[in-house]
Amino acid sequence: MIATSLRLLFFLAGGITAFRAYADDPTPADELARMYGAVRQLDYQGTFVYTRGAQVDALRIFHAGGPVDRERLVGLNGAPAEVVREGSTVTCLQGATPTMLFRNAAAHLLPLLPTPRGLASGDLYELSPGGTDRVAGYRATRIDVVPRDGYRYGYRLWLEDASGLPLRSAVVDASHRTLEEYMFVTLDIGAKPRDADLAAGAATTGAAPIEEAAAGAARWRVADPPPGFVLGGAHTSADGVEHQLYSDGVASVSIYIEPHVAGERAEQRLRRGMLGIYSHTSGGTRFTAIGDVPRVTLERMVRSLQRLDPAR
Amino acid sequence: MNEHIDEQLSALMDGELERDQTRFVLRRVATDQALPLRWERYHIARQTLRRQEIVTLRDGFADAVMERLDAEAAVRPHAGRPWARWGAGGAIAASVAVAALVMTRPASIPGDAAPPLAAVRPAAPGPTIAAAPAAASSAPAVSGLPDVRPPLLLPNGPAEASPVSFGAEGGQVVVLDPRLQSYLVRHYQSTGTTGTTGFVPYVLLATPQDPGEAARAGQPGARNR
Repeated sequence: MIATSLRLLFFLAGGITAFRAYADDPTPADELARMYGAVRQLDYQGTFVYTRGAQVDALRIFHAGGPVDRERLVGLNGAPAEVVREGSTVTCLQGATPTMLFRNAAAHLLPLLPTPRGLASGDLYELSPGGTDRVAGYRATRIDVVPRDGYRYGYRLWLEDASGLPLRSAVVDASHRTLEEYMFVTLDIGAKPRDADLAAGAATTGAAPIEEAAAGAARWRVADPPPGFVLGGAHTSADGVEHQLYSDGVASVSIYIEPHVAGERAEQRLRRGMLGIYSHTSGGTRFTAIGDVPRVTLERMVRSLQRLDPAR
Repeated sequence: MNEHIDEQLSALMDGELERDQTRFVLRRVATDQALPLRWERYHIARQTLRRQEIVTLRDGFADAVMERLDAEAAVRPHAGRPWARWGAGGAIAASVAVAALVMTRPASIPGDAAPPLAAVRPAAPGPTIAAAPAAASSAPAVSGLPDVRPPLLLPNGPAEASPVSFGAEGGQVVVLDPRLQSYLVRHYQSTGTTGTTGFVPYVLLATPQDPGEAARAGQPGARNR
């Protein structure tokens, strides 16, 4: 009995120590976990700037937390455009015709936030503290998501100290150059938006989301993918184009395979911000890779494509 | 079977179906109440991503198309790949305002020469996204990786895919051809629906792709807050 009590006391003491250690000095992983919760659960509204390349845009966001959170993202420059989300339903409003566009349970309208799935293992990305800063008037702690190789981009996240809300996020390449970034310039955490600020408009078209069929056996495979990239699905469309989707849990790459047609460009490399496109023609077949990854990743995947034996 | 008819619907929307296949799909549309809704889903999402006007399927659509097919005297001529046909005429100009459809070309990649200037044509009301700085578009320094630069290209790309320069920014801007536009849309659709991959950049749907849009900002009825 005494021994049991001592063990229980020892266990409780250990738990209290661990809790105090977390409270005093949360790890970057703890901070990220809190960030994902804050994005969904908190009420907030504010304005942020979003840059990619030389383009700078200003947007306003309204977010109401809850079991089914709601948010609305409004472009403040250029032609009026906005995106409204209620739970998993994302509605896009451009011009006079609101349209339901996606249904995505993991959707959130703040950009440039890495999905947690690929960060958990620590094999592909390392989380490290990046010091303290001040953003939109709030004290913030910076967390760096550092890729362990050159096949994926890194993230810098500025998280508000009290709530964990991401005040700023930047995607950086291996040379620490910023490819895309957003940063709040005004933010009111805890201010619940009015229903009118979250409304998608009365005449929303009730279209269901598109779901590309996942069926279809792959006829090609990436023989030498960069570490961590695994095939998530393959699909062949009616016109014979095979589409494969690979992901490392954070970044994703689509590969399209189709017959090459004489006169088409044999090689093409395009980039905008973090998004890259690479097309390559070989043996009468055209391969195109699209993804938020460095060029070296796209090219390695395309150049290691092998045709599967139909007899297999 | 459902997957097959979905593919045929998608192909029909892209103008990829031959005459006989079109008749088959339209007959299915006339008898299966779910098919017009599926058509509408595809159509609305694609049009939204292309920032084109939404035209929903009206009653009697299938009958009207069948009548036009019957009235045609000859089978339409084959004019290359389906996406090339779709991209002919004014389709390029109409599609360049789509979110995420204008890309910058890396400034100096061996073997990736620019197409001949004769092939360059302005795309009014063309893409006017500023080019990314060279620093942002060049590849990161990755040590220990093999040289994966592919061999040469041929410069005879389709004219609609030719880059258009914007001197003020000092960089090249390229309009994606319809095939790449379609692939980009599919990529985002896949990442958004599989639930296992990266985020979908919804922010691109709320930011202008054409700085000229600034002149049209403040249209009546706009909610600018």
